Amino acid sequence: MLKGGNIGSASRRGWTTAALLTPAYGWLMLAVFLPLGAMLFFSVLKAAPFGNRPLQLTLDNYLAFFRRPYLIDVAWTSIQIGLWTTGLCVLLGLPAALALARATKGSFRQVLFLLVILPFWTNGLVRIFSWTTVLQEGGVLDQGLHLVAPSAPAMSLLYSFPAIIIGLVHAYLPYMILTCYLSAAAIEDASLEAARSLGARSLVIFWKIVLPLCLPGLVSGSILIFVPVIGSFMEPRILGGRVGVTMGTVIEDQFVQAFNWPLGAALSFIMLAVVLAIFAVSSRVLSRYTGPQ
Amino acid sequence: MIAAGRAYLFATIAFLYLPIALMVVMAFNDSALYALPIEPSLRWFEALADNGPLLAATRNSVVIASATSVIATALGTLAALALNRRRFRGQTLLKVLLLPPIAIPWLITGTAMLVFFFWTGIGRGIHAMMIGHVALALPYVVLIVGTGLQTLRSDLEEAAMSLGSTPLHAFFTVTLPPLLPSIVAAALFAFAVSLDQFVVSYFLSTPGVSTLPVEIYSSIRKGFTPEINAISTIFLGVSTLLVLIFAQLSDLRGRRERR
Amino acid sequence: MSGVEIIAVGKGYGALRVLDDVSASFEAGRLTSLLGPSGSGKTTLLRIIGGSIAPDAGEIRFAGENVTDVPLWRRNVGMVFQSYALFPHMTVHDNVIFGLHRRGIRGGAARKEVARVLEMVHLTGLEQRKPKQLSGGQQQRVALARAIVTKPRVLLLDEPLSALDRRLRQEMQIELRRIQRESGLTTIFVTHDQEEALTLSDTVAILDRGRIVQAGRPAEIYERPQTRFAASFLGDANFFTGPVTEGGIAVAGGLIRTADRLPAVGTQVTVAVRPEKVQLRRLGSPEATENSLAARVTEIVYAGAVSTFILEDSSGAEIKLLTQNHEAAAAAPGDSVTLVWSPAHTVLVAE
Repeated sequence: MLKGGNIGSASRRGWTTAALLTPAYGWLMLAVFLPLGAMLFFSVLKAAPFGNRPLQLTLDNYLAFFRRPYLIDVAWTSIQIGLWTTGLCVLLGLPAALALARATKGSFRQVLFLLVILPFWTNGLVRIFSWTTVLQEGGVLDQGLHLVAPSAPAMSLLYSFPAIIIGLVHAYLPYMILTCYLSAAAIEDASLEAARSLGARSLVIFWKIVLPLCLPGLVSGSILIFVPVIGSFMEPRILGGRVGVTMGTVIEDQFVQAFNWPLGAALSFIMLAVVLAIFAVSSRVLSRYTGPQ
Repeated sequence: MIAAGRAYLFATIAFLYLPIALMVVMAFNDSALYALPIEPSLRWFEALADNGPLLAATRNSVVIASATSVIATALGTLAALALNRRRFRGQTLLKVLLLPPIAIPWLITGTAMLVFFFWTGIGRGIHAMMIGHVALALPYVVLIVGTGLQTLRSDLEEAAMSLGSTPLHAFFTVTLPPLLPSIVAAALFAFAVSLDQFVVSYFLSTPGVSTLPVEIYSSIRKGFTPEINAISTIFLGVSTLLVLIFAQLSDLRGRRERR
Repeated sequence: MSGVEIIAVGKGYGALRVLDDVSASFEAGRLTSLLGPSGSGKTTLLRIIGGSIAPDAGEIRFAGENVTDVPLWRRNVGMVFQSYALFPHMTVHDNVIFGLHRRGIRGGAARKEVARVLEMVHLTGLEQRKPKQLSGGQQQRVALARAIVTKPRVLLLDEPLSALDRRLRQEMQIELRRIQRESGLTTIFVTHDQEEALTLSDTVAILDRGRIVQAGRPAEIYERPQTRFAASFLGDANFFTGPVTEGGIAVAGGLIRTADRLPAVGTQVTVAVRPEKVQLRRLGSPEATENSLAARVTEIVYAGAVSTFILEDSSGAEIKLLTQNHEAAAAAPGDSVTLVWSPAHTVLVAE
């Protein structure tokens, strides 16, 4: 497709290319890049520039993050949620991916693959909501418990840290299964047979061959999960109630309740910095593992 | 070992579907309580018809998703054409610039849009949500159409031109037709992305003007009603249908190439 | 039907000169091959003639008319691509009729033309099939039909047979020749396969690194190569290098005579001898008018109808001999033999 055919002059092709690209990138400029720039500007203001107050530049909003222990606690909660969710997704997702890649074949495998991916493309809100019906008092879990032990007290897992984790794991598990499946499916049977013929037993094969080859899938899956999770606010609110206070909910508050937009902007950019750092580190790790082969 | 693997896989899939299945069952259950027995009934679906805000939100969602689909597909297809036919300087940079809408947490993008739109007077509401949704769907459209273009052959246009087609005519008769499945798939994807979008819609909505996901969220926060089960079930059905059509289209493309 | 002329055509990409001051004349109604290794510029030249690529310098003329600035879609050329480039979403009929519609020929007249060319390429009855339902050979014929139905001024083929297996390839070579003769189109054919070039062409032009090294009738080029490159690219050749002396060229094993005119005594020259022109003499001594050389057989490569003898002369240089297997082998590995050949078959070549 990318041959250098000289059909038409070079400058005319250049104009055509620019014309084709302008609408899309112009839109992105308006909707994404300028807003991000605006928010960066807001984050260094003392107060939002509405009204006739003079603009005052300050770094207080960023420093607030380090000065208030409350925010550091919240950030730590977010990270914990991220780590728990990602960790559980790894533990639950990798075996499922391996099973899908190696224990199933052909159209059976394709159907199962579609089944795994399908929930992922349905609305996340709906899936989180479905957990409230299970976890709440009077919900399925509660009823099920009472079927077995009628005199047990009413149980509600809702509005707790575990509830948040359960909901998030359920929502993001397909990501991990997908990325690990792609890595696992690429492992050639011949490699495993060769290892067996050299005397390796199953555990060794898993540890020394399968796991390292799945590492790119594990890393990219972890990124795909950790980044949105630390920014989540909907799931912690719905499933965690008062317990569900994360960076996401704090930022949301600044914009929707407290109307402290500069602070919200600064906190957003701190989160963005963390996200970009994670991307940078992980791409280096990934290129080390998928590079020279 | 294989049996254990399969069992585990089924258990995982069951875990993924269980809460959703329960929700669907409850949508058709006459009682709002989770006790047995289950009496099939459509009353919650009927109640939806009277739920004004929910219906308005649904209409908004569909309107915005349709507009998003058309605009994003048009803009994205043009961009994909430019990015995938000739090599030029800055191509990689442009491709990287498509990542932010997907890679940056929507919380940040959504609040940034809120800040910028408010500041510049664009404001919130349906038009604002549409601007946001198109931006979020664009990268996917460029990716899907771009992938379709990769499998297209450059010599077809040259052949058409040798037979007398001007470059434009060659594009429309020879390049575009095989590309249509990709374009339709991208349009469906954009529609689904917009329909499911919650975070950005949340920040750009105003009281009275919101989309279905935002309305569902408010309902959940206000207090549970069984109607939410019903509307969620419908929502789920539509999303699933879109995905299956999309998968069929991608499959058709795949089969055509495996000549 | 028109002749094609290219005058001082040059093309470069960055620092790389792909074509350098190339001039040639392609006879009207004849098939000319552009033969050369990859990187020789033959495909680039073809596409410049067709109009897909614009040259940096030079002119292209069709029947005397300067078409250098005429874009591809107005040049009225027929192109057959290596990949056939059939439109996958159209039937055979629609593929072939495409060019006619572009030229404003529609309806019954167009359909008649389509039927005519499909008949010519022996594909009648397959009009409604899609390309993916056809075999490689059939796709090739459709590509050909599509290119010739508009009666283009010149037909350009870019290694069209390279994707076919050997048997099919040989069949298609004969077919191609027949179709070209029937249609009478001026045809330019790019290939790296010298056997194909010899079989199909009225004229062969050999390209090496952006220049035409030699052009002429196949037999002429084969029997009388002008350069070492031409001699070794087209077929096999034995080369002997040495200074000119009285009567011939002095080499390790003796004196080699040639029917060509030799330059001044003392000049270093190279001559080429085709393997099939060399004969083994076991008994009796060589004729006075023949060239002769003593050699030892190192290997015999048996290929059914023919055998190639690989020998070593007194200086250790390798000599190849090709002979038909009339009877049992005339010599065995290790044997010392005398090689003879005629001075008329000893060709002076430039390095």
